[in-house]
Amino acid sequence: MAFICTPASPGNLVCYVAYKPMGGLLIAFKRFDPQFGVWGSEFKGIDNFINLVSGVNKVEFWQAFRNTFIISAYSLIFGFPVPIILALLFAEIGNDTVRKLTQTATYLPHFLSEVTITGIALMLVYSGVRSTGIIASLLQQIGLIEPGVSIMQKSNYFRPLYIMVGIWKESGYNSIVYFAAIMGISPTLYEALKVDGGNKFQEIRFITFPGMAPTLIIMIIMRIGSMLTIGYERVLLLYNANIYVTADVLSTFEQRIGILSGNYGIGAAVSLFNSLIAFALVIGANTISRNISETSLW
Amino acid sequence: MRNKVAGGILCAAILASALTGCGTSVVDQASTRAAEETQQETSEAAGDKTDLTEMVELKFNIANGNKSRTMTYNQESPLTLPDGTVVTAGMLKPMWSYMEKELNSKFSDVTLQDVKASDMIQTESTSNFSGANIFGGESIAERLMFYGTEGKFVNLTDMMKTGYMPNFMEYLSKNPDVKTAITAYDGNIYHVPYIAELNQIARTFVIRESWVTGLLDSEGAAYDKNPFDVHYKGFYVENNRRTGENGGTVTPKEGIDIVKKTDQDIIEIQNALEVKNGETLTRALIQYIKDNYDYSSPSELFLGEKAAYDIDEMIALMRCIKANPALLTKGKADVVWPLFVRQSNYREDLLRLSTYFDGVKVHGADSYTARWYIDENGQIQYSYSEEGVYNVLQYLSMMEAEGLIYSDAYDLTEKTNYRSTLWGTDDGDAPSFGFMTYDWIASSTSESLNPDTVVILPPVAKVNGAWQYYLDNGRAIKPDGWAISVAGSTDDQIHRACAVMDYLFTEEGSRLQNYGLPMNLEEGKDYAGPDGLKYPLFTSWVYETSGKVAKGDLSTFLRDWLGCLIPIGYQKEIGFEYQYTSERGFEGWALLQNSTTNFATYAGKGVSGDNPNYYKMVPPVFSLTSRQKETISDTTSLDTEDIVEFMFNIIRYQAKGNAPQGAVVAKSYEEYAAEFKKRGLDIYEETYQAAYDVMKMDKQ
Repeated sequence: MAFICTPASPGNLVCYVAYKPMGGLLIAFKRFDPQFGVWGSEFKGIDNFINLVSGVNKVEFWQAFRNTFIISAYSLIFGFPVPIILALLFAEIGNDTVRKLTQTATYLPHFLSEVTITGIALMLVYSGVRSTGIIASLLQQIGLIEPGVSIMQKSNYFRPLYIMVGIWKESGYNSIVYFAAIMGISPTLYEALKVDGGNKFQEIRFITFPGMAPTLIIMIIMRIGSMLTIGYERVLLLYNANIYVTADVLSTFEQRIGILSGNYGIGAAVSLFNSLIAFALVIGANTISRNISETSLW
Repeated sequence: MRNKVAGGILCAAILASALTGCGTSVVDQASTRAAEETQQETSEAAGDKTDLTEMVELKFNIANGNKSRTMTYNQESPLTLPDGTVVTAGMLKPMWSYMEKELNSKFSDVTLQDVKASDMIQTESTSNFSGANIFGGESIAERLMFYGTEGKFVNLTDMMKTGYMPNFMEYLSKNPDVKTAITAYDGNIYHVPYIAELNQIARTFVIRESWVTGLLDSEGAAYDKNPFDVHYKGFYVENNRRTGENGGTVTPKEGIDIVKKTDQDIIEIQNALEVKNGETLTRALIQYIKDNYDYSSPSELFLGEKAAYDIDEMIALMRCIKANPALLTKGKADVVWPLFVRQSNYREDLLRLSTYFDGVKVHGADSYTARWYIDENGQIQYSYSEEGVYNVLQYLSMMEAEGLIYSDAYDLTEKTNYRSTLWGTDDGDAPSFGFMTYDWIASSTSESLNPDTVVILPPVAKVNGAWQYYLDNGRAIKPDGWAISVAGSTDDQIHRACAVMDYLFTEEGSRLQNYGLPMNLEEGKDYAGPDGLKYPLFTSWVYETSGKVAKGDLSTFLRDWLGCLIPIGYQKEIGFEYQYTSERGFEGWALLQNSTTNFATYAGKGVSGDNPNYYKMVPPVFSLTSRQKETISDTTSLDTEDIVEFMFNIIRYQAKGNAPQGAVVAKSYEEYAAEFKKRGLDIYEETYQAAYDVMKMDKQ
């Protein structure tokens, strides 16, 4: 493999970058020890997978697995429509300057790092001796939380917070692709509908949505494919041991067990497990889409 | 003999340099001497194979996760030494420049300056540690031992047997506990550890003095009258009353016996008060002290050499503090915090109060990861899972419910230094006030922090079956150190690396690493410590320069500017710390050293009681075989932060009953123990016991 995949030519570069690292998947079947490398480490078959699903880590693994699906599903339900709605609204703004300013304002959070975004979020919801954030104060005022108890210690607040932070950060930037799709629809279609007496909602329903459909479907297939790959940075920055029950996802579990505890094999097994399910989900979503809409990735 | 000769030459060289006024640099001084010493040393020490005649190049990878704490000078401003030598960014720090000349070597620092030692070891293991000759850093002793047994680091036992590292060998023969602690499971030594000031107290209780006298000795004080809720029910109650044989007479200092006259418990008295506020709680405490002790002023129960307070009396005082914020802060604050830890990641220090609840063991050494203690049968026991610790968590929970503990400290996302905030902002625009912490004497009594803080004796308690003053916190062998790479070194380099490591166990090397360059020390003068011993005395240049560049923090200056005291293999001396201590801190040292206070040591000597091993500290790390490591990682999950979170949930929420959804709070010891069992406690204990048995075998 190493002989074939050398970065000597552009063709080989693809092989080198895309496929050579896959050799690392072997770690999932080994008791990986960095000093012996991937090949030299002891082969353990599927022991790492057995340990995950039925060993000492099983409770944490299944908890992370469930949370990954739930958070992804919530993000899909609540997060996916927001950029579409934003794109529709942008398309309706007649004044170019106002539209550009609005768009830029919504894109900005995307360019801030996760650390900054989560830092701001934590500051807003923090409640302790030192200080109390605005949102925490508000929730205390209306009696939803007790003074001195931080929201970040309450497991039922994690998912809404995670999703809201995500919407705030990414919905503006994600609206670009939908806005581009809308812009690609021929104006003559809208004019024809107007001639036929159609109103604004009918424009959206009968022209904009069908015009955006291929983009929407592609985006949703891609989204389903990444359902199990929740970015661990935001979770890692927001969660703590008390809210693992709702916050711990496969990627953070993998980071704790693989990197912090040094169980590289089990960490790689989590990752491989994750990828196989994501692969199945993409194929499933693509098949369904092809059958019902004739739009698909392949 | 070798040391004396070397020391003599050192003094002569400095003197000659001073007399001629030639202003040679430190590097030159050392360089000239190196060759002379080399000849003398090699010919003198029979069996000592150390040979410094040839110049040898050595690469170092010493990581501490902080670029200021490496051997390279990383400060923005250059440092001008007293002899005019200018040290700039990228150069070796002066201590290392001096040492390389002293040992006729060429040192290169190949450390990625900000990398953590554990990450460095992980990365370097992939190349068999061939990137440098010497690897070192913080909290890597277990890995150094493990990779040593795998043949990656030089077997220092063999080197010592063949005549290398004679000073380190001598040190180990005088300190067998150190030898045991660093010997790997195969019976060999692969690293040289950082050894703190063994047989010295580590941390202790420090409080604001004026708050105690202001509350207890001022009869007419305008006490606060806001209501106070009580939760803690007392420890010396029912069948455990403190009277007669059970702590009725205690001896804080030889010749001073303090008698408690009745079996009253102050917590019971305070809890029975009809109205509980700052005034009633404090007056009840004052009256209780008068009824039970013959002190000239009530504050003496807590302050000075006659202190004889127990844990209930300490909590009673904390209640008075908590209930009198306006009085104590002169109206600046409406809330004060009686007990706090320095920062959130020190929160496990709260558990150390366990000692004063009949001597419950919680940490076997001055480290939060030292969760083992040695029982009466010589077996190690995992303390965190025990019923005694669970009970202490419940007591702490009641204290938390009364607002006695600074609660931000439970949240690990909080990074504030609470000691600076709660002691160092009295005159600021937004002051916060704390009363007591458990910390190092020198830094806690620093003039720049708060001029009111003093050391007090620990609470008196029945510890190991005997009433005594006890701190379960002696200075320890640290899990830090350095080792020599096999793959990255030639024979010459291995021999020279041995000489480098050994040098810090010679008199001059130890002085260099602990105090700095000879030019930084007063010639012919000593510093007299409170322990009656004499130590090298810093020159005024050291104080003045540290004041200019490091806000007077001598410890930081020596580490980050001069390159001394970084956690590599050496024996730390306390003389530096004494000179860094304020007058009040000095008095604190004297208070403890002149008292009957016992503390944990590796030798484990103390008042004979139920467990002959009670006072013994556990080794910093255990040397596990790869199979044992595999067992721990595959079948247990106790080395994670969430088990500590689980414990702290009891403190935070149990007494208040306000646990948020998702937080698991053990309602009984059975539930508590079940969590540890679920995480593989039995196998965990069995595995570590096996490792400990091997260590003991080596000692026998």
